Amino acid sequence: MVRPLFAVQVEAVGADPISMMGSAARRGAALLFSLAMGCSGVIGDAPGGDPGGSGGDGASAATGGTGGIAPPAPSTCPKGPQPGTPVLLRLTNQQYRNTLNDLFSGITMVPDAALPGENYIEGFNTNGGGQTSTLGHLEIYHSVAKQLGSYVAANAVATVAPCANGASEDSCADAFIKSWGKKVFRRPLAADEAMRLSALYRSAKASSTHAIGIGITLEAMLLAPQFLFRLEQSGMAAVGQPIALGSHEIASRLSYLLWDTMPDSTLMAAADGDRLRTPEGIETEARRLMGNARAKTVVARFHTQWLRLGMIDNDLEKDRKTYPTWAYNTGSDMGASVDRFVDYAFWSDGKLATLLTDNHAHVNGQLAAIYGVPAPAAGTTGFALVETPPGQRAGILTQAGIMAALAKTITDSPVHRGVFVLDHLLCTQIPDPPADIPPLPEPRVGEPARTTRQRVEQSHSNPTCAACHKMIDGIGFGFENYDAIGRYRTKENGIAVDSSGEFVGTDIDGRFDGAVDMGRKLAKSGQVMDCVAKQWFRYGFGRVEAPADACALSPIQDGFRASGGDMKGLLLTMVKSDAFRYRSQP
Amino acid sequence: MTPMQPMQPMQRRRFLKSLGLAGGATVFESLRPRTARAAVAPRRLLVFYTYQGTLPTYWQPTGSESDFTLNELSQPYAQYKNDLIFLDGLDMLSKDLDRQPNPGNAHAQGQNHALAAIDHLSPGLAGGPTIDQTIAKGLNARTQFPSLELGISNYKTFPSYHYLIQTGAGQRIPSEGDPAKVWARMFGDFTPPGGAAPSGPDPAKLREKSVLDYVRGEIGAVGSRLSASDRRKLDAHTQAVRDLEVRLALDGSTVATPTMGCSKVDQAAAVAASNLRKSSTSFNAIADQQVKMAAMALACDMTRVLSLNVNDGQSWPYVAGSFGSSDGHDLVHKTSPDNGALRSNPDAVAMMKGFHVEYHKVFGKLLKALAEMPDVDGKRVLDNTIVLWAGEFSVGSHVTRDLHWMLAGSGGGQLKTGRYLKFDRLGGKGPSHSNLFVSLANAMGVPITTFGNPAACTGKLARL
Repeated sequence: MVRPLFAVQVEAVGADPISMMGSAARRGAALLFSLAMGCSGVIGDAPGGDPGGSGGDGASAATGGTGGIAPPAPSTCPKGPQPGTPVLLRLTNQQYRNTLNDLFSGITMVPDAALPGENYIEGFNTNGGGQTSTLGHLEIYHSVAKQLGSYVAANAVATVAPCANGASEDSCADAFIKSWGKKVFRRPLAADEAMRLSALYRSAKASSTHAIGIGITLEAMLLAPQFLFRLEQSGMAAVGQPIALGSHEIASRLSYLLWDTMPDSTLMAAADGDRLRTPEGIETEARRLMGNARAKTVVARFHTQWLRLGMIDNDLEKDRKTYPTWAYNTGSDMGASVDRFVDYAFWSDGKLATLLTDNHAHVNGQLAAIYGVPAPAAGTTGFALVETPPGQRAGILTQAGIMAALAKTITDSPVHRGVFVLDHLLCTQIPDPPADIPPLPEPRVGEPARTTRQRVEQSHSNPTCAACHKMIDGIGFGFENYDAIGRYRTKENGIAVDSSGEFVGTDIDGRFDGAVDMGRKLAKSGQVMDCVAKQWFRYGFGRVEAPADACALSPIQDGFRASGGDMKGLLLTMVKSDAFRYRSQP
Repeated sequence: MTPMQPMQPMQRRRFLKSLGLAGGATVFESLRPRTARAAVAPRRLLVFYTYQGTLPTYWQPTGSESDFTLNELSQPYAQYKNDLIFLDGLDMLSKDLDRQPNPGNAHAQGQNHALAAIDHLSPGLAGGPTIDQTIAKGLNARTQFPSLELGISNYKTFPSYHYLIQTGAGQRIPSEGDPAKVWARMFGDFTPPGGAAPSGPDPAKLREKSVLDYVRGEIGAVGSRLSASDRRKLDAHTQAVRDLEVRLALDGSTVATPTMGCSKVDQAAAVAASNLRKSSTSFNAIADQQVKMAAMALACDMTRVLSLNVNDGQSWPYVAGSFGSSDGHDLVHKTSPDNGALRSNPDAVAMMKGFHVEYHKVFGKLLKALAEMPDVDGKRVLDNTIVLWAGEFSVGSHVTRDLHWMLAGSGGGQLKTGRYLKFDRLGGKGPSHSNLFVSLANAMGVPITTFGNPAACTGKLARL
């Protein structure tokens, strides 16, 4: 799918002004700024980015628009908590399902919730800007809520609304509203909220039975905005001023960030005890949540969305004449292998350097041949973790799946590879070429054999192209040792490949020799660290950073840099940050 | 408020089932079967949307406005020639006027403007509603669905970056590419598993209504303490709750004027097509089901505004590496008639034509389904429908000028069909495509005078 057959990853190309500059620019690297602008200026974009105000695909729908202006340097951040500009989030489809599964665990199976597809904004389905409610959503929310309410009415009233001998039905219902309301709304109900549910129960019961009244009340809770949205409304302050979130709101944020579901009973108890209003209290619970397998699922999903790992699947097709060993399931095997690498890098020492330089791979028989390592012993099921041959691989970028996905069907694609690194690792987005650019000429019959690099270099020698392609190809050429299926090579068409490259317009500018050297440079780049922190910010807070978020984001980036790229530490930094603990009064 | 229209017995049962009230005998006493009453058919709009432009050499008719001969690509629907209006030479003027004509991806930008005709909000999203949603809102028809968005694609899920329809700036409605899910939405029955049958239909309906009233009350209670942009988000949610009330026929205002041919589409076929997704042969199977259900949605008057978002079919006859191309998209560029390197290679162009033929075959099936369905006024459903075939490009090289679009059906006699409109392109510029949208809205009974970027729109499309 990276080969854009007819599908183009629009979400990946949002030219948002902040990410175009990267945090390094904010830190004073004026040169980077002028280069990036120069590149985009060449193809006709207004300098300064998008004056109508967009923080990426759809972000301004949620943020009310952002200007194309540089965020302030941290030294200009005002005193006091800096939460930035939070946006209202709805449960993602996955969060909705997980939450219902947890709510009804031990009571009933939750019906399949075939919600409409989600919008992915700058790669992430957590982005609030893409969460427009439509009738299609409400039909499913209603259907599921109704089925669950009806099930409970018929089968499980005693479970959800236990009633002591002699207690009146109404008092049992009120106890149910209090206990289930707190579960469903993820906080104790306000008195008026409980009253409205109680009134609903009574009116439903009046036309039917206590059981149906309970079912209807449950159905209503599951359709309430307090359940479907992650509303944060405790406290009050002057407009624009920060408000500390309550412990229950923090519990909800923690749980959806780290587990993709509602708080469990331990977390809820910590909230009940108001123990989540200090960084220490938050860290205790965050560490506990991160020690659970549920956090692994979330970390995997973040990386899948950040690095577009969904592209490495059975859709990945190669020319079978050129690559006779390519099979229908090669792409999905490669995807599974990359997923395992992410898991391994994050949950071993969790260093960004490991993600970017480690030379292990997870192989089965088919991938072993691609990596040039012995096949796992007969009888081995799944994937074996192996060290790849010395000097050939460096981290996630050189995983066969990524290299194969960032390639065409016959040849590799330095442009896709360069843009990928710029977009996702350096947060420097290069706009698409203008319309009507003739495509890269293919080799002509009888023409002397050339390497991919030679063809690309010739095609981009035109000064109009060169402005951007110097940045793109300088990185992309560093991957010339990997062919279109991710195999290591030293020759292409019988000619020695040249994998020397150059960073231009970054904080690690200068030449490097091949992807292993490149990985080492990337691992030391503050710009890369800032970018990774920014990606987690976008994922975790459900918004593309607006200029007003600069002072909320920069402490998280600073913390990640100070830790030397500790990815687990980054999550802890994030949950203890102002952006996580405060909101601003609308 | 629009008065309640009579409904077919089938229609009534479906409503009852959707409420879990199958068997209810008296609740919809007012919904008696339509008899031989003189009927006025509703007007309907169907947007058929394809990607990658076309090959004009095989698309353009020859001849004059009223006396023309169809070209090769139109052969799959040649029998409906007199129902067609070829629109040859419109420009996406709004795109040329966009404050930033090429932000991000050219495909996305063409897509932004194709139906919204207004500056982009951000690289993937248009800054306003698409024309179908403006029309749906103007109609305020109170059918079960204010609009339906169907997709045809054999990706596992319809790619979200090709979601096409927007209700407002940045507010994108997903296209549903899974026939099984479309079936469930249109024909599914929401009876809870293992749940006790409600004791009587009327109180149960009132209880459902009370639930939605409660939800609206809660939205109101929380909505006063939100930022303006968050409130807009809850407003969309409120609208969806209101739409659900109509969908479930809870307030007596739901409208339906189904035709005699309205019937439940075969679920097994929809599920079978759904299960085929991702196989190389699934495009046509999925297209068949989606077309069938789209036509039935109109025939049953479930909605009056519908889009069929036809993503690429992988069934098209592209072979990896053909003619030295690196992939299918590459070949689209290379066969583009303006600057493609292979535009004079007949075999390469023939391969690309084979791809476009697939789109035209789907269009042919759609017209056939609409034409063979008798409408409530005795005409064909097609006669009371306007089908617009639109797309993001003119040809494969990302050009958004000199579009090759098409209409079918007259919208109940509002449009004069059987015409080939070749627009003058004075100074290399054709009429604005947003003028077409004004004309279409007016033909549908929605009295707008401009659409999208007003600077790109001068009113109705002359000659149409």
